[in-house]
Amino acid sequence: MTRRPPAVLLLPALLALAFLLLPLLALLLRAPWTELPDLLTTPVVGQALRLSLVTAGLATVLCVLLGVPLAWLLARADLPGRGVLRALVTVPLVLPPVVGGVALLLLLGRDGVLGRPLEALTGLTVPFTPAAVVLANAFVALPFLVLAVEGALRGADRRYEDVAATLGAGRWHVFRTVTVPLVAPGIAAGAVLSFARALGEFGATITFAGSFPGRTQTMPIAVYLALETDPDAAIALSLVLLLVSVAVLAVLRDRWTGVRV
Amino acid sequence: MSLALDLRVTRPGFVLELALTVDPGEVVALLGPNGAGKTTVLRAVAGLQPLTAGSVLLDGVALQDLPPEDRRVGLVPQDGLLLPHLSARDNVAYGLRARGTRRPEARRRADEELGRLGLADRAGDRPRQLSGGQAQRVALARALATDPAVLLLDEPLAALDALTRTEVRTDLRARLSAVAAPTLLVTHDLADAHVLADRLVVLDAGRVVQEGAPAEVAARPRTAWVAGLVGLVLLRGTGDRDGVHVEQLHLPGPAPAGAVLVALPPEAVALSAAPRPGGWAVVVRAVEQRGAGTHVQLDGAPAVEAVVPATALRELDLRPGQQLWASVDAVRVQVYA
Amino acid sequence: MRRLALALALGLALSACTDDPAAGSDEVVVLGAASLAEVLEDLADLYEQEHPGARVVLSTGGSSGLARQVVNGLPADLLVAASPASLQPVLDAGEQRDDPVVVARNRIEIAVAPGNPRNLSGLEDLARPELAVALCAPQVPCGAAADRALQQAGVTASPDTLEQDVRAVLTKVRLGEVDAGVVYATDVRAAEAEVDGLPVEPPVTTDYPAVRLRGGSAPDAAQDLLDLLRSERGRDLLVAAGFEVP
Repeated sequence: MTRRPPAVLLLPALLALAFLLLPLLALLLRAPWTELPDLLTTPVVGQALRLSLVTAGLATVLCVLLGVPLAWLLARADLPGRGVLRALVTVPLVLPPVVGGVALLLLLGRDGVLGRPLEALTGLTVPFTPAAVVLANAFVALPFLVLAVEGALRGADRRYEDVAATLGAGRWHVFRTVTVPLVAPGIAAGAVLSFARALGEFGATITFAGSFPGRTQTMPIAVYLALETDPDAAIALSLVLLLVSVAVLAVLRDRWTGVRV
Repeated sequence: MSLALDLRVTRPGFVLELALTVDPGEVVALLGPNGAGKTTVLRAVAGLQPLTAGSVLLDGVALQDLPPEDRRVGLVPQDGLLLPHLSARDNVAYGLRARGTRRPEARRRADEELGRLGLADRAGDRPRQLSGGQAQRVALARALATDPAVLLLDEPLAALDALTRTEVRTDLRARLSAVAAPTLLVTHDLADAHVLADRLVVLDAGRVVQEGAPAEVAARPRTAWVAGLVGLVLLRGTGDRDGVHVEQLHLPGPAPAGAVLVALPPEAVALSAAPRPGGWAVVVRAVEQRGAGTHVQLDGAPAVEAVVPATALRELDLRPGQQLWASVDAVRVQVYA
Repeated sequence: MRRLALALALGLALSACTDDPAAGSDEVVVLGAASLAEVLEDLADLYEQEHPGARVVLSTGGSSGLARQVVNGLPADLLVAASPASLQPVLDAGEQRDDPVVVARNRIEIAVAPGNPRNLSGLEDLARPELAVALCAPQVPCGAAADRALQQAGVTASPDTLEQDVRAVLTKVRLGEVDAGVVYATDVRAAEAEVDGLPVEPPVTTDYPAVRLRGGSAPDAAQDLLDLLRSERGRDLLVAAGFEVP
């Protein structure tokens, strides 16, 4: 028998739900449904969507490859100043994304601390390329993955790793065959968060990577620009982003992430 | 290969000091109350606990500076700790795969090992699909699959219910008899030690307090804890030409000279309202009804425990504070140095 | 606890009441394109000096954003936009009191690093593949103007980025991330020594229309401000900032 939750909790909860859902509902209600097919089949939209999905996906992969070891370091290694490190990792969370973009420019821009030697040695420049979009996305999304995985590692039972060691597994083997599978739900949840954050990223991307259709103009940037001249197109694009996000969340059900979605 | 331990490990609360040799094929049980340091010994041998001083020698080769993965130790942990994301077969194959055996070969040997424990049909199951007893057997198979030079078992039957416990204990005994490696078993259950071990080492607060064959230890406990396990009352007294003296209790007859231990079952203590020769005054502290008999805790010099048969209950007034007279049936008393 | 809740509720209600920009009868609300910010501020000071007791509330920003706010019901008296196109939604919604009038023109210029190190001379250099070039996105007024200029000159530029406003283009030039950017003359003037501006021949300008709005409650004050902007003194302010005047 489930008890009805107390009114003190129910009311704010319903308000919260309304707060989150009503704007989305407005989007659906005001969408130009009859013009939608025309608006959405323009090449610009296809390019922007493809670019968004690919760069967000690559950024998520980058976050996992770099973030899992970092999370392991924060959760397990006996480092002095771990608290400081953890605080630094969360900086992109509180930094306004545009500031993050500026910082990336100062590092990897043509005149950047690393950008200038990079161009001198290899002739490669990073800004205004899809790679820059991936980097901007990864910069803002990495803290989500690191925090999710660090939390999972802290909660994991170390005794399994002990047993694996007694069975003859070296530390890398233990990491691969015991630690990672045990925190896989945490990694998956972190990856979902990172992907979602990367998909919606605007400020750092437009500052560092610029905006050019097919190369660096992601969906959020396309929506912002469309708003200047064609609000209907902006709504259509927003709708597409909304549907894509919902689809992503639906695919990654709790079977994969351990999070009820 | 024989295992020679000479350990000193400083833990919060006590210092563990243990010197012990285990011969190939021998099963030594480490017995003791919680916190005595038994698991610490296993972890030290496995490489999960660094030594403060001393050595762990396997056929003379020092292991104490090696990491766990380089010692050929098989550990069966208390809760089995089967890797939840692998099947029973892959769990058992884990050690072989970690050491480089190819997957098909490792799985074949895993199936063999599981077969020896009667679990061949469960090989494809996940740990959560196994019962407690089955999981414990798989954990044993996993440790044995790597052909370890030392086998360590940490309270292998503790997590099981009484019925499963007896079954698994029998299987374990059969399996251990075929193991050539020295085996160290930790338990707090004397029955486990009786069935499984060749030799018993009793640990208390980090020190060895008694050692010997299980039957010997049970018959002649040297600490109150072991005596309690066996259900005996343990008294410390002095022996001389007249007999044994434990405070007001005198037991005539030949006795070793000097400090002696006196062990007697509570059933050997008779209570009466009136004084009797050879007895002493006691005061009832607590009365507990336990199955067939009434157990009475008595204060006195010495303090003992008595079990009063139903027939005697009517005559005695068993209330806390009641003054009575205790006497002992000398035939059922063990006296030893 | 109850009293606290009641007090809070009352406070919230009161604050909502006072949140009406047109409540003060001597207030006039002006919305202006970002490039006109300084000019409008000086104009407002001038107006307040000559009309004691009057108060000008000024809000500047992207023109299409301002237009959107007006269409969505923001009560304002006067709107000065950065292009006729960005004013269109306001006209379509019928929010204007009279027909719009052009109050200023902004000329397109090419912003380069000080000293013109890459030796650009005109629009045709924007097609050079080795140069990094920033333009405004075509949906934004300065982007539309840049496109017109490039078309007229018959140049196909290869921009590396199409920014969402002209200030972002200017920033990229100042940071050295691009070698050239197409901006307004007023932006070059505002950036002072940090960028050099190359003129575009033949010149391409974009018109800045101004219009009085129905939603405001001070139409007379709005007319006074508009007249002031089109007067000698207003035109001086505009020219000083780098605008052209009709």
